[in-house]
Amino acid sequence: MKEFADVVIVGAGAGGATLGGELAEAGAKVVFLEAGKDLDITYGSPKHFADRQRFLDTVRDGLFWHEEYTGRNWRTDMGECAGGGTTAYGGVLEESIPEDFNSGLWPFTWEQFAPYIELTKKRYHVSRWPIDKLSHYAQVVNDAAGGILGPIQSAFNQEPYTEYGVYHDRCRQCKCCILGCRYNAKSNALTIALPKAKWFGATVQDNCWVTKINSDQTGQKVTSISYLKRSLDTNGSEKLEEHEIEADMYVLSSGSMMTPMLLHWSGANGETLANSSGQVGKNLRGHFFRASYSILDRDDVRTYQGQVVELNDLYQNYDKGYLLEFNMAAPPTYMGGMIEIMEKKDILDMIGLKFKRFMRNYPKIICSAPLCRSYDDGFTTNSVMPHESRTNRYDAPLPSVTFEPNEQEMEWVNTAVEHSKQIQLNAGADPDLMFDGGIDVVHKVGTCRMGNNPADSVTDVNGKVWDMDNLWIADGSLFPAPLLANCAFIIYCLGYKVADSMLKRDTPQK
Amino acid sequence: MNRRQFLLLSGTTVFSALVAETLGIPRFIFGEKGLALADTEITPLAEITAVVDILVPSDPLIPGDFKGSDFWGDKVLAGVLGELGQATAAGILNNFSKQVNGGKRFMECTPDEQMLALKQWIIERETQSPLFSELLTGILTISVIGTYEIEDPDMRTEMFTSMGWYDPQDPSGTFRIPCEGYVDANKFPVRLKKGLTQ
Repeated sequence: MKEFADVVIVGAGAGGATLGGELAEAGAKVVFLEAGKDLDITYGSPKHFADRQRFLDTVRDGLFWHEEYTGRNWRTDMGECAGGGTTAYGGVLEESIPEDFNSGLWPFTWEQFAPYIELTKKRYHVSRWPIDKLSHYAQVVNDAAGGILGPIQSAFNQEPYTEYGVYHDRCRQCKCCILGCRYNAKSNALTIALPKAKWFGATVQDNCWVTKINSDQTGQKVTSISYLKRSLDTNGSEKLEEHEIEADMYVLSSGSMMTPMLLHWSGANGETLANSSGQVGKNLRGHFFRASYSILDRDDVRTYQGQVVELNDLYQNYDKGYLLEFNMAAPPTYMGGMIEIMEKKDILDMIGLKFKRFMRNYPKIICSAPLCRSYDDGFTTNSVMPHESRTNRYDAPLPSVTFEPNEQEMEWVNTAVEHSKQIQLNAGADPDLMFDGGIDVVHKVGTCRMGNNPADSVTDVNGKVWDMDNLWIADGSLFPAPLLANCAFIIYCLGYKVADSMLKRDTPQK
Repeated sequence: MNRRQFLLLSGTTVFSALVAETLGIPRFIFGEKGLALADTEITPLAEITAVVDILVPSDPLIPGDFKGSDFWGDKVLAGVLGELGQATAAGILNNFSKQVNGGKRFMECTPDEQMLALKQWIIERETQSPLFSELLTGILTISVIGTYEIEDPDMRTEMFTSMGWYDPQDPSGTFRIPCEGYVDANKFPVRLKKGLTQ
């Protein structure tokens, strides 16, 4: 069955949905091919995530809906559903900092990119939280840190929003962002960008598994995309229907894990498509982090009060390579995060009664989460490559993920953890009730880096694939270097930038 | 055949059934209402109730303290896993229990011994198939979240009060589930010592 569109976007996550909304608004017939389910919700009503069924539904989406992969057992954030990783997370949109872009590793400067940051804030209806002084809790931690803390440099949805048929309430900073938003205030790809795209006629084909990007004989032009549409037959068994869709332009927005895999699967003679640079799947980046928890042994604070704060150490010394966040969350959210950490075998003793007793001190829990960027000399050996022998259920090679911290990264992690624990102790933490989580990796980006030189990058500065005439990439895989903070906001920005390129617009549209 | 080979073989055998049943893919694909997650009609196996209760145990220092199954954590977990998922989890728990508890099955063990078996699963997770690793993640996380994310407001109040998160005598000064009380978490008052301000 062959279909047609103006633009086909593989993946309706942060980059794809953002870009798709712009293209659809410009009049293009946009079709998303989404591997997950289109929840077709904007978190429903304010009560939505207070509803147990839907809440746990989302939990399960986060837990189980991803493709199998091989290699180190890091969480991969792949798959999930329409809205991508922003559906479960993405409550805090961190804007990043000029030093990230002025390091020489990105193909543009902060000043050149800044218009897209402003555009994204406008489109996503968020702005910097106007905190002009720290809460008492934050001040306690700040004093313990020697006065280098600051309110989180992030944008939130501060006013109700009604546009494109959806309604969002304002953010209350209730710290329950993860796994949804009880107030329906979260601004993300699912709640902002996708409704806009649909409003302008885009269609989301969900439960679609792309099997191949077909190209012409020269290998320079995408001719169509083949995919399997999953459904159930009358017996309740999975039924796969082969489809093929043609378009004028194609966009890969499947994230830093699956976008390179789509290219790996699609070249002629088993080779990787669009890989003259040899960079497809290479330079996987992310944040190593290791949370530290303790109980603040003092009566004048309730640690779930006040705003989230982060230690702006990077402003003092960017080369330290890490960012400390002091997080507050609702108790079940805390518990979910802590249990996730306890799955690692290094803190088994916390499971069970000790954990419950720890959580009885919930109002006094202090949690710091250092985010350490991966080492930054421009290239790394970490990668997402096709496995030599193992295949997925559609007979395509599984992703084989290589991601290990090197000596420099481990030094950053350990230094950051020691630093944050010392701050906790200075603030009055009970040294007998402290524990660290295992090291994990979040915010994975890279693998199809953008750049100014076709010899060492997969796409140009606008996400246009160097080797192909009608193929773009718009997701976190474009990152040539990691940022110090959460990457979702910058992926939104890149979505707008790529859209401008495809629409041949020079500057962000106001 | 050693234990790991057995697990691999049995895992392969039940894989397709688990994909369909445990992970609820048919329902997942169609997005049907009434998902297994909320299906508290599935009766938890004894092993499932036991594992929830060792993850969320009753504190012996607090008379009458609750355990996970008191707040339906086991029913939620059973609903997530489905019948085949429960059976698989029980089988794995039994294997680990026999391994670390002198051949005793999971339900023949004391809670401490059951915890040992569960910890052994965690210790060996990185060498297991992704399916079993995901199953463990589900058990650990859903046991906790299923217990503490109570939909029923009366039960939630009871449990939050027991945990010291909520004070019915001073509801404005302690944590409450959003949407049911405070309107602005950034500003809502906190109980502080006299003379201190937040």
